[in-house]
Amino acid sequence: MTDPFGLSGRRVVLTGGSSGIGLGLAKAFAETGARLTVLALPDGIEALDGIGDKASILACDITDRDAIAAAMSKVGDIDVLIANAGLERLTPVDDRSDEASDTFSKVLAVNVTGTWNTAQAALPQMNPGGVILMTASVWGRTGEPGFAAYVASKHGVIGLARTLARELGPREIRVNAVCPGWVETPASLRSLTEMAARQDRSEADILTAVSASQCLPGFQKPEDIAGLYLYLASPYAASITGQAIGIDRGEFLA
Amino acid sequence: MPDPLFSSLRLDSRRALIVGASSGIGYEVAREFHLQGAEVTILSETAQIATAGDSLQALDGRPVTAIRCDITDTEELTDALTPLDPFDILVQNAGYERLTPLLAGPEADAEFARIVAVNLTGAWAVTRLIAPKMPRGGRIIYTASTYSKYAIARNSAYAGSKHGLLGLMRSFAHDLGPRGITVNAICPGWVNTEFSNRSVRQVAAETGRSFDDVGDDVLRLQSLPGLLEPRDMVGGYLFLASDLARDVTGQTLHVDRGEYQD
Repeated sequence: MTDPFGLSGRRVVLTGGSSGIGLGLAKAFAETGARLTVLALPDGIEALDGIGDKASILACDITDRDAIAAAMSKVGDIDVLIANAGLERLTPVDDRSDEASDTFSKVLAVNVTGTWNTAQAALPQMNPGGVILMTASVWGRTGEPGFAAYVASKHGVIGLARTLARELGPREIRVNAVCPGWVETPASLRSLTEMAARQDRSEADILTAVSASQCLPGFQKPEDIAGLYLYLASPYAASITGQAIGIDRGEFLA
Repeated sequence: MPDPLFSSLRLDSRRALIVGASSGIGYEVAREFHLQGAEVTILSETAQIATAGDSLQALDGRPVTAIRCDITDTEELTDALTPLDPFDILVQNAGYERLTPLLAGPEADAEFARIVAVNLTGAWAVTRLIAPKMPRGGRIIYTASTYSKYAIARNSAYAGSKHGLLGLMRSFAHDLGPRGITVNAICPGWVNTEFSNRSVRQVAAETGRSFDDVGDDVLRLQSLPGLLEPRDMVGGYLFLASDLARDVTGQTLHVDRGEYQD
């Protein structure tokens, strides 16, 4: 797709760029010729070797406010912020262990507070015409048994996008959330394994059900959804803000 | 010249039918699709459609087919569309907007029927004639409205029909998904067209307020300031028509400067 929307030279910051959807986005935005900075956890940096010559890579944990502020200050002005970093873990409501409670808190800390930290840290470097994109999920609009923390957090991300759209609109900064459906990533494959074990079903059986729940059969890979981010980041979506936009082969019709 | 930003979104050899394209949003969409290389057919019930076709053709000399037809006349519509080759892209943009106050006289009944006939039954009729022959990879895009998601007073027929249009769109997304065809809707906010401005004038007249005052009510709902122009809508249609949106179906895309949040 190279540069369908003229993003070459735009200064783009992406969080959570070392795997899954984020890695797909890093590759897509790098291809456009955008001036890309990717933030990833220290143990994920290696995965970005392939695009190292097309992007700056910074190690950063978005739950650490000082760390993300320090990282953003190295970037300079930002045209497009993609707050994509997220954590997906099973949190069954009937698991009352301390470990489960910690997992619940951690998912919210990364997905909601981390996204908030990211936007807050980047904002001083954003100008009129700036764009913030947040990766939410189809599970930001529906419930999924066993995933209370993740589902609540992604509903929360949509709430952040809507609120910041209203708050930053007068400054001509647009804020939207993208809601991917089932995309084949390390995180979703991990969840698939956990769901299969929990529901006593085969992974193939669950995948068949996922595909059948979509208008368009089949499965998405990270590169299939990058086009929506490119479009929303571009001036040709200049009149779109405050929206949660599904890209899920027609799983949830909003 | 086509907009250089869209250089990788070329629609060369794609056959596109844009219904409701004599002016406003539909005309601008037809114009960009034509400049991106699509083989464009435009349709409208207004005499202006012929002029619109001529203007598009004059842009680069490539032919554009212009059809004058009322989509609420099923027989006329069937005669007009049946002989045509299959289309890859259908943009159903024809619409009719009038106020229908609940407590108005019997004249509102005729308006109500006309609005539903154009916005809902018309969309059904056009899709029924185009979808059966549409190939895999096809795209259907409806022009809905922010009033597909909420409503204001005196607007029952328009809001009702536009809410209904989303139901139609979602059902068709299921119907056509197995054939690899995506079906989506764009929800414009208040766009500076004769179509929308007429309603603002009517509300102003009925409530004893000025046009600007009523218009400001709408603009205040937007997160981003500024009035939408028809040209501002084009990017959404082009994205949904493109290969980049191959996994987007059954969705509404609000191009409304943040008026309604969905």
